[in-house]
Amino acid sequence: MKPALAVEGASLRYPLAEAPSLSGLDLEVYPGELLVLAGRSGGGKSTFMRMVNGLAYRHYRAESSGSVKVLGAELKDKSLYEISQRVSSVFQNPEDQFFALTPRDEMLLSWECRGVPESEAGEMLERWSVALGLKGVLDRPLNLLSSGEKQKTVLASQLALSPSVLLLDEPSSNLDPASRRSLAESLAALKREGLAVVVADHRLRWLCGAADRALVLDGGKAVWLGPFDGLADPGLVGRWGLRRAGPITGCGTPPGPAALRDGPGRPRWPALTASPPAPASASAPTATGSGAPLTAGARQVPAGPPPGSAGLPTVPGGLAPGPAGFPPGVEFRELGFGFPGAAPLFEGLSAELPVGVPALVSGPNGRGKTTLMRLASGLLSPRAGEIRFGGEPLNARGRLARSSLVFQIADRQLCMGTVQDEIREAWKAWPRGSARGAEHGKPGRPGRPSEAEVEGVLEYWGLAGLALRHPQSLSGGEKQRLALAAAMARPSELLCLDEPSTGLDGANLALAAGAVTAAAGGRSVMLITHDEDLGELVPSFPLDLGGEEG
Amino acid sequence: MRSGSRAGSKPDPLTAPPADPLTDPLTDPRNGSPYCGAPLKLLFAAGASVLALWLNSWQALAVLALFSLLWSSGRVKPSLLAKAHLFLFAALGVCLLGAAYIPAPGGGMRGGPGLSVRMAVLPALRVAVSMNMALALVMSSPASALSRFIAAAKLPDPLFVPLSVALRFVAVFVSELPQVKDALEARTGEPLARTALSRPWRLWRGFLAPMVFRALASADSLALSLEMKGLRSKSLFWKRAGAFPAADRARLARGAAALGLCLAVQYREAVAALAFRAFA
Amino acid sequence: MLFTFAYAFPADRDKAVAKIGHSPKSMEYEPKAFAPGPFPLPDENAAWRFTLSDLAAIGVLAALARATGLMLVFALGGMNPVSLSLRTMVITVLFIVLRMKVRRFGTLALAALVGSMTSFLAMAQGIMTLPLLLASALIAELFITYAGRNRAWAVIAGCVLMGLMDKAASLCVIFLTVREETRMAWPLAILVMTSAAGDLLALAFAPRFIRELRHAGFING
Repeated sequence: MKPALAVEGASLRYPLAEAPSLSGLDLEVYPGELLVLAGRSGGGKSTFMRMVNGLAYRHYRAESSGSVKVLGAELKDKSLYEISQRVSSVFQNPEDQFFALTPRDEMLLSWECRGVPESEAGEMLERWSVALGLKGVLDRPLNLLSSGEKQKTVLASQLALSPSVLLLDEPSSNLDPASRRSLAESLAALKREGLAVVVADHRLRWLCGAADRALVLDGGKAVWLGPFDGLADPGLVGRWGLRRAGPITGCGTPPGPAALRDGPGRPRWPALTASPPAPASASAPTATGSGAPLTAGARQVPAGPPPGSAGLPTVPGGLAPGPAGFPPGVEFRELGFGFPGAAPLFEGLSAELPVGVPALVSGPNGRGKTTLMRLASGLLSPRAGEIRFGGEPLNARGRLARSSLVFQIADRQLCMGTVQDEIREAWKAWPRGSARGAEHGKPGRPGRPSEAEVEGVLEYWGLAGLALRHPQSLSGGEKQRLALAAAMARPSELLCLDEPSTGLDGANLALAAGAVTAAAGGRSVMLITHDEDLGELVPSFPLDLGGEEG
Repeated sequence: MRSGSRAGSKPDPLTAPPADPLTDPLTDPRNGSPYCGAPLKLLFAAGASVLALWLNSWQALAVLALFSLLWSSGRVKPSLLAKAHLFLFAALGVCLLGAAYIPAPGGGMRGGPGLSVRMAVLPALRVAVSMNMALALVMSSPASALSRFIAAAKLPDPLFVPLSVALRFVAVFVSELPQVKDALEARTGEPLARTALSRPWRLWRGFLAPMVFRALASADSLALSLEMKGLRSKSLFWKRAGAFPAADRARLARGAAALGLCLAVQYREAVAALAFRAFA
Repeated sequence: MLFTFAYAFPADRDKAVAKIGHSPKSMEYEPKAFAPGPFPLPDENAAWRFTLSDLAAIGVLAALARATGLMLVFALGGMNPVSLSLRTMVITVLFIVLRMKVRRFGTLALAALVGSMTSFLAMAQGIMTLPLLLASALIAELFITYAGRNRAWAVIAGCVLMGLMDKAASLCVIFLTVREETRMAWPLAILVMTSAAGDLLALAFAPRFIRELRHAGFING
């Protein structure tokens, strides 16, 4: 059988880059196969995608050598339009591939551009919308579609034209677990139809059962190629900085140590001592199964909290296991809220975000997790009930001054001109009369952090050489880490994190998990995440907003 | 449904009614005609605005204002229409009050009741006409109907692409700007309005700069994806039932007659003289 | 000749797309063979034609101008001096950013046309000032291209000039609307002049912002 995609000795170097981004890559992907590209951030996964869909030559003007063939035809001398006839790509943000306003119009437009006659388009629309589950949302405007629906629309508009290869770049990043399962099923079905699929992603678990082979890229070179199940090997995971490939149960790989949230009722977690919980380090039991340290390559996950992240002194007196032993941080009392014109989201909600352990807020999409975060931090005011910080009821303004947030999309939060300015600007802000103010000698007045302090923060988060770079020129994972760094540098009593692990590879995920755990040492942390990998690494107290009990 | 569809034929999947509760049946493009009269509304809006500027007799303007009110009352919620008119009269009232204390041309102060309210009615009617036509368009033509109209309108490519892109992105930006506003408020620890009044330069940094970066990045990705699609204008799929279905043709005739009537009222002496000469 | 915006795509539209020439064969997969869509867009364009990325940038920034205007109205109110001047400043700075990104003659005029048409399609506003706005855009383009040779200072000055001429156009339309009682125009004229202050604010912010966009890699030096 002829391979659908054949890469021979391919090397790629971007203009103005010193080192090649890909070197000496040899790969064959056959029809009916799903290949997963894994590896550290910056390892070359996105570059590989760009090489195969032609953007590297046409748009980025990279120098290349070797050959890339789809069904025997060399891609390098073809135009983007010709290449996309055989190679479909779904970008990381599928919204950027929409030209029309509704899924129906988008699909019809894409097909018309390829010469699909009108008589066939109606029937194709019917078939593909049923196959991918878009039947009910065909006329919904773009801003009301979920990420999964946008992705499916882009898939339908391209797959109906019978490409040979499908490329997906981090497709799971904005999806909830149900959508991920649905996407994995769709990919498995498409694979059976004969399509060759290549998926580049940090998250590996959701592909369990759908993926056949995996290729690990590091520094532009292929360092491991084998069956997907092989990625569960903890040595491989540790060495190349991957995330876990096997889920907690199933998929043929033995589960790690008792998951922190399994079993009914209260969670169990390791006994805590009087000192603040240590970040994920060599001694703590982790999800790798063998207790091996979550180090990756040259960079060790540092012990201790990130500099400047402890906003208030550690709560003295020791911490006993169990949520009852934790002092209350943020309390919701009889909270009521609903957006005008819609059904109320919360009615009489009473809950607590303890100090000392992060609270993991869970619930289905649309249940109001982000709204609860906005209420807690003072961006919204509740209609009924009150919110207390350390026993003191505060209005929205007061809560806003004492909270620190990381939103779902890091881009929207980075606004300064250089990376170090972002940290400085976050560092300077604090509530009046707090410990930080006293530290700098003038309570209530801002002071600049020293160069060393800023360097220390950047060093911790692996952004050391990037101090003078513009935040928008960083990669996705770097932007995410910068947003986390800025939020944790700001002293606050409540830290809210909405999907903080997007775009982070294995090592950076461990770093973030350690920082979150340490940050909880002196404040309340509200964590919203669909990422099982993060949930495993961070010992947390569950706050389930769940469908019925609210 | 569509005029001209055969009775008993299988429902066309391209124009079948949607099953989506989020799509408002009143504004759905498949009720009535595929275009929901968007080109017609635009034509009337442009025509009425130009005519309103042209007319200078209060009777003609009153007739035009009445027609525009009738046009918009069928397409806009009455409460919204009432609020809009109230706002308009309040704004004009403020203008009048302000104008009353400005010296009249030709010297002397003519403040207070010296202002000619009768003359001030004319601008009020002009603005009311534009406002009614605008509301009728905004409230009853969904963006997807407008974008289909543009795609079928045979515009030159350098105009079609940015216009479609702009229409598609406006709604997206409007829904994303609150998130950027949240991020800024979280940073500064105070509401946006307060920052705007006390430290407006922070609005730039925290609010506009991220959106500009996002916009430029999106533009690049979109351009790449368009190139891969092989985009062209003069779309065929959206030219169903012709640009002007029968229902719209009747409305066009009625609307043209209404505008003609306004002109006739404006030039009633000339019209009367012509009629007299024709029939006498 | 200068003012013909030549179509972005070549006149030889009969060029057919070369097929890759294979159909994917596998165990069960049999794709449908569609004829290739006609007239795909070329990758290379002559220097004086708008590329797809230029057109996308024009559309996106026009949308951002409208959306930000709406947002500022919701957040700060519609008729106060801060809101008026900020809205104008945003629009002018976005024009400047666009002209720095898309350095072709005619960009401002096309952007002004697209912006007005977007306003008209979405809100039925802005169509009356269009002819004068286009004229002012062309004057600004002539200044930027021939007097300033596309330098940053010329782009900033040209866009601010265009903004001020646009305000003059609005004043004309206002006077036409209230020509029977011209004194009513004065309060509205004061509003227009307040918003013109936003153009002057843009003079202050734009240079720094352009430097930053260069630093971030969105604009080439």
